[in-house]
Amino acid sequence: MIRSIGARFVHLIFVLTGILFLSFLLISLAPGNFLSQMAMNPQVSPEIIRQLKVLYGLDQPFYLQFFHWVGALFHGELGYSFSYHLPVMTLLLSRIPLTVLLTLTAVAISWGMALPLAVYGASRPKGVLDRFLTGFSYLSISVPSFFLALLGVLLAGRTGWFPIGGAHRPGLAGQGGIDRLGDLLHHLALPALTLALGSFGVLYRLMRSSVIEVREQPFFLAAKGRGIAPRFLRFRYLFRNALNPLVTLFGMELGGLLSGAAFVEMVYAWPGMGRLMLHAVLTEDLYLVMGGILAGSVMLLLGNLLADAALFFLDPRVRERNS
Amino acid sequence: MFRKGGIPLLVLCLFFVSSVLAEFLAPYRYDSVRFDLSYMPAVWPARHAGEWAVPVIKLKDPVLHRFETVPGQWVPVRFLCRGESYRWMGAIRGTRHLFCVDKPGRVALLGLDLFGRDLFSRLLYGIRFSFLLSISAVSLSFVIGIMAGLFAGTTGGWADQLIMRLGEVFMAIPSLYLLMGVRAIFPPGLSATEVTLIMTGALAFVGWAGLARVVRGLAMSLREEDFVLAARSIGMSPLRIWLRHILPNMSYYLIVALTLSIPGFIVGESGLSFLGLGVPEPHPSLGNILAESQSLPAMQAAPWLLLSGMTIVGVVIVFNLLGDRLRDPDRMRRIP
Repeated sequence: MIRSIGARFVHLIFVLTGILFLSFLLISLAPGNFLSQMAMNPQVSPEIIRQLKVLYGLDQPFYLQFFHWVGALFHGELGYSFSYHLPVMTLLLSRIPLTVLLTLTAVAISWGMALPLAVYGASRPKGVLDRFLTGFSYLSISVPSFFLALLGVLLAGRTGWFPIGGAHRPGLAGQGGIDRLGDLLHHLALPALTLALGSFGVLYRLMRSSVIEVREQPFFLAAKGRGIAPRFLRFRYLFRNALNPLVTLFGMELGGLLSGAAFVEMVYAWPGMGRLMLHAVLTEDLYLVMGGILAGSVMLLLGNLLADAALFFLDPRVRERNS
Repeated sequence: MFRKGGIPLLVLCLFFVSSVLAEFLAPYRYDSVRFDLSYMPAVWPARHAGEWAVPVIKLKDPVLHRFETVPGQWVPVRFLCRGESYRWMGAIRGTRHLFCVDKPGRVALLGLDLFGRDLFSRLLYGIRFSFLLSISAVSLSFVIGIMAGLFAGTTGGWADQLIMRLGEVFMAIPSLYLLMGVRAIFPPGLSATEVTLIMTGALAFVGWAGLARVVRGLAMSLREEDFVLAARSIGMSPLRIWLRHILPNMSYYLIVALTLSIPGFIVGESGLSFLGLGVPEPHPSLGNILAESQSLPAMQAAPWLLLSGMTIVGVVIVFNLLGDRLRDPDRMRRIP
């Protein structure tokens, strides 16, 4: 148990180091550094540029610069955003919660819809419900999230049911807690629903095949033969056993979900990480881009870790194997 | 293979051929503007006085984009005619079009966009661009992925460890974030050719890792086969073993994987273009045509611009259907 956690931790450190190195490499590959602009200014002499280079360590070899950068990272220092005139860390911390909120709400909606529906759909494969849902998942897999989000904007514009843009109505700063929460949920509804509809398809297909597999297993047939009540059978035997492969796949799904969330954020102007990244790329704010990549990867890695932990609690077999 | 493809393959070929012949099939060039006909809805040819003709349309209200037909004025549709000049695939000069309409009239099978450019023509060009870019990106990523996977799977040891851990690093970054990061290295405002090359490289850079993992698994199981052992015992060089024994044995799986990964690349390409990080205007790609309908007023004035999104969905569905058809359970069972 402790060994497996330790091995996982070492692996995590390794992957994180790789990501740090990759993002540092990306920034080094970009032409010029933040002194380039100054060097073009005729009022700044080359001598001063050289002194600044030494001061900021830009004359040192690549690997030393990398170590300095990682060292600064441990002090919570990610650099300074030139377009927002704020430290990158401050910006990230203000945006990450909103992206996490959006993604988790979408996960809750899509799992809440897809899993129970798959149990019913797969209990009669090729039935009316199953055919309908399979077709729907095909569509859900094939519609890109940004297009779905555009259709959502159209829906909101036609009906006026949902507000578009931001996470709050303007001028709500002084309001009480309940009002703020209600307003946030109202703004959250459409982006989260869009994201959830996009990931419904994969979940339904996976859960369906998983349920069909469990239904053919001897223990299920035995339980059925003993005449256990269908409702009990469905949830205690079928659902719990079919769930395991999906929990494992949660990590893989999360990567796509974070990318999808970025698109959805951009279309709905939801102030999360995706919008921040786009702004950073368009304004060539490289430190912010790098911070965004790091934040995205950390969210993904944490999600994977959580999925593993969840599997540990859900599946006694995994617990046995690791103890 | 071809018989197995069935209807999806047929539809795909249709898409492909019509996009290759975009210059000929499209009545107008992708950048042929008519500012007076901004957001004009579709105008179809109809029978008039015994021949196919198009009514002449005039702007009535420039604010609300209302149009009216000029009574009694029809312009005949000519077939296999000489129209706007073009360079087919950027190389061969030509003026022939499948059909064209003379000046005061304007045929618009799917309506016009903000600048009065023909959406039908732009879609044809856009499909071609998205196809070519995704197919070259997929090919590049396959070459990298197959080489990395084969090398890791057949040599094993530290090279295997290094490549696989590197792949894990790539897969631990959400793909859109990595794509945007790669795109950020290059300054905005590059030419269309440069952006195309960068996007091809970036998509391949982001996509190789997953494939390398699978190829490695296949190579590791094939390495244990008797025919590889036999080849090695007669002193065949490792390169020849790769090319003659290992690669052909996984070719079926690779074709399926190729079919199933193209839609991801098409969505990636159109997504980047949609965000304005892709090929710049006026060059059309599926994503950047869709980006024109991003604001609510544009969507309400010209809902037909959303057809580019429908086209993406259609292409993706066709590729997925094809992949599912090709995925023969008997032959896929060997795959770990």
